[in-house]
Amino acid sequence: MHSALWKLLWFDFRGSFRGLLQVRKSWRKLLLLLLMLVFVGLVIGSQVFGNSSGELSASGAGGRFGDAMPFWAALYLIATWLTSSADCGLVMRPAEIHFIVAGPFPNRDVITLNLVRLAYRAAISSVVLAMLGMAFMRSFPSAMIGLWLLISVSLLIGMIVSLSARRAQGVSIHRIRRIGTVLSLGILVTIIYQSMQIIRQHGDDVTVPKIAAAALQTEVGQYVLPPLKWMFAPLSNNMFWPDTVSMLPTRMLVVTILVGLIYLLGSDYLEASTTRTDLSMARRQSSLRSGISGSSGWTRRIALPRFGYLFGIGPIAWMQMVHSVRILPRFLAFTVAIVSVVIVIPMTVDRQQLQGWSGVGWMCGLNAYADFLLLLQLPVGFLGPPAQRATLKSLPIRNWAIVIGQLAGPLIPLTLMHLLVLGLFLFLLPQSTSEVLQTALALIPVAWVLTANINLLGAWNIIKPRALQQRDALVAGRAMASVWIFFMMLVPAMIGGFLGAAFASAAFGQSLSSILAGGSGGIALTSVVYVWLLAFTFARWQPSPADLGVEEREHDR
Amino acid sequence: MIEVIDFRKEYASVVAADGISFALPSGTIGALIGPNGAGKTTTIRALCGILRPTSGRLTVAGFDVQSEPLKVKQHIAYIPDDPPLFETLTVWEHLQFIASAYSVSDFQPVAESLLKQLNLESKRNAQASELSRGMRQKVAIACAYLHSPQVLFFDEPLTGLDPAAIRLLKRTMVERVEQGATVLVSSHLLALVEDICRHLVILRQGKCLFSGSMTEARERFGETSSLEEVFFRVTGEVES
Repeated sequence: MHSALWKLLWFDFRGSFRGLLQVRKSWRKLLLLLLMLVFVGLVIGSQVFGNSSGELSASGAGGRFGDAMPFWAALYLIATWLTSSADCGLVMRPAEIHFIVAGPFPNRDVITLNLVRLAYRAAISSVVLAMLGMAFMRSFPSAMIGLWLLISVSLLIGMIVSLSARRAQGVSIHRIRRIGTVLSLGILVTIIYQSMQIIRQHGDDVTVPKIAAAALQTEVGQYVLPPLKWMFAPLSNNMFWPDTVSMLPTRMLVVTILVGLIYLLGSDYLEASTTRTDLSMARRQSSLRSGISGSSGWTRRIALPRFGYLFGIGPIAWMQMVHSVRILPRFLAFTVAIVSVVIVIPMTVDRQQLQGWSGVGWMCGLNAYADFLLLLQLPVGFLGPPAQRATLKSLPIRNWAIVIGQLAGPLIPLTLMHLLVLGLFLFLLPQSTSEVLQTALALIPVAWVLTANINLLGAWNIIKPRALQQRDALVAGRAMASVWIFFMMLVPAMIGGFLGAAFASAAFGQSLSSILAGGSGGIALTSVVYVWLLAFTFARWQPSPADLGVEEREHDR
Repeated sequence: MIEVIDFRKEYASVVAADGISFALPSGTIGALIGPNGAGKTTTIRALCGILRPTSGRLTVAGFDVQSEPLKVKQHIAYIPDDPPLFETLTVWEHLQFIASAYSVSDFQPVAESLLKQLNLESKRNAQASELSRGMRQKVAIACAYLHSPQVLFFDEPLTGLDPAAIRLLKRTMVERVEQGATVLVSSHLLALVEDICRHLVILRQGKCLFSGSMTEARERFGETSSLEEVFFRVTGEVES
């Protein structure tokens, strides 16, 4: 590779290290980093304690993970093959397209540059993921190498699929790719079907972990999955030496073959990278401007009547509500799917547990989780693009009115979510209609506080929309820490709710209605704190030097 | 109409504006020019009440920006170089929103005429996310004109506009001034400044090097009638 490109890699590495050191200059970033470290420490700590008490046996967590690992690896690789993010290895920075693709560097050098950079990124991600995964894995260095292999192979496969789909390739390559796609999907479906049959033959209930564990014993799986088991064996190895080290050169040979394929298929690599980067940048720009990527399709026809002025709250609330309604479908579907898989299905399996106070608890928990997940997705209010804050700031409307208008943004999405939950519980608990309705009413202030809290953290730039969907381990770690802060920030509301419930039960007796009314009243009162903090933050907010005009940005750099 | 006295703005280690003072009389088009990093955007944003000055006094339309920000905002319009529109709102909905935010009663006739004037009629129901760079700029201009502000701030207004739109924008600026408004334009395009501006403010590294009429500038730094020459003499920059 050209020496200038090695120099660029070194500058990039040094720049990212500097960026890490500069965290100390921002107390918020520092706090997030500390929380992330605490989180990782707790995960590793729990593993250490587990080992010291001898809880993990040979057939324990590590063993189970070992059986299921080839299935999950196959699923991950097929997902990389099929999804639109498959060719993420081709995306470069616009500056790289400008200076390198258009520069005096041969195709081969640009491929090498991208591969070296991906290997580095995969290494960083595997270190962080290995730390987080210590609860399931036995040897840290083995886990790290296993994850590096998995990430690297997935990126390489993505690039191969993308390059083989280019017009520059011959008909035979296109055919091989299509056959590969159909074959891999067919094999996956067959393995799942055969796994389910094996589980039923043993008289067990069919669950996803059992399907994964039984995949290796299926007729198709016993031929297809062992290569994957061998390739990613370090993920479940007990010992780094000799288990992982001894076969590492052979595994690296497989990686080298994949790399060779990229050089072979990469005759129009420069064009492929430029096209893919342009597409990625267009999506990113659109996402930065509106918090969403792509047009909003049929939802553009949805309109809302304008509200009155109401101290300036009306126009802001109207604008935010129109925005939230038009982007809602994609986020609502995602949230409903996640909530259904995580809570609704397990909850409905055993309806006995929904009787009495337990049912109220489930409804509160489910609704709060769904609200939180939906609010985290929606780029509305202070989770929207920061550039719009300057526009709002230039309006002749008081700060507190802008804040309340912004908070009204997710009103319709949250109402829909609450109605869905209400409908579900009315269906599940037909004999407790009154209790369900009372609980639904009591949950309204909860949604208000959750909205205010998440907007507050958005205004502080602690929570960013869609942060939890990141594939990058470091960003995902930061997002996890921000969720911790979110829950900590809810403590005043919880105290308010508890005190309200205690007061109401002392004054009006320990009935469900008095406790719910007291609790929700207490929570509603504490919302004043969140709204005040948000108004104070917005009043103090001003664009950072980085948000200024082009010339000031240049000046600062 | 616009008065800036000893305006200073600091960001941690950077001084973006260092004691800038100038005044722009009513019914004038003023130009804020200077090399990159001179503090033009910082000054305009502070005048709009978006940035808080570290020190100094800023007055717009007869109101102090720090003590009466809402009154200032009611009488001004700000058009940044890349207007952050609300992407899911249509062009017409933007006008509805602005009319509502500035309490403009019976805004439809004015809005319709602005759409016609700026050739946006066909884009009336298009969402902002579907508009080109120039179209977005036109929407921002329509929003700015809707409430008939007394003072207009343009930050690099010609970015992304086609020749016809540039001519149109220049004409509308002059029309607004003839109706009594004051316009402050920040631009690197000296030809634009020379064409329509009557007052000149030259900044460099956060300091005001000159403030006065174009005639005064030519008399003081002249011997030539070219604004470009004046600019280079004042800022001490060397042509490359």
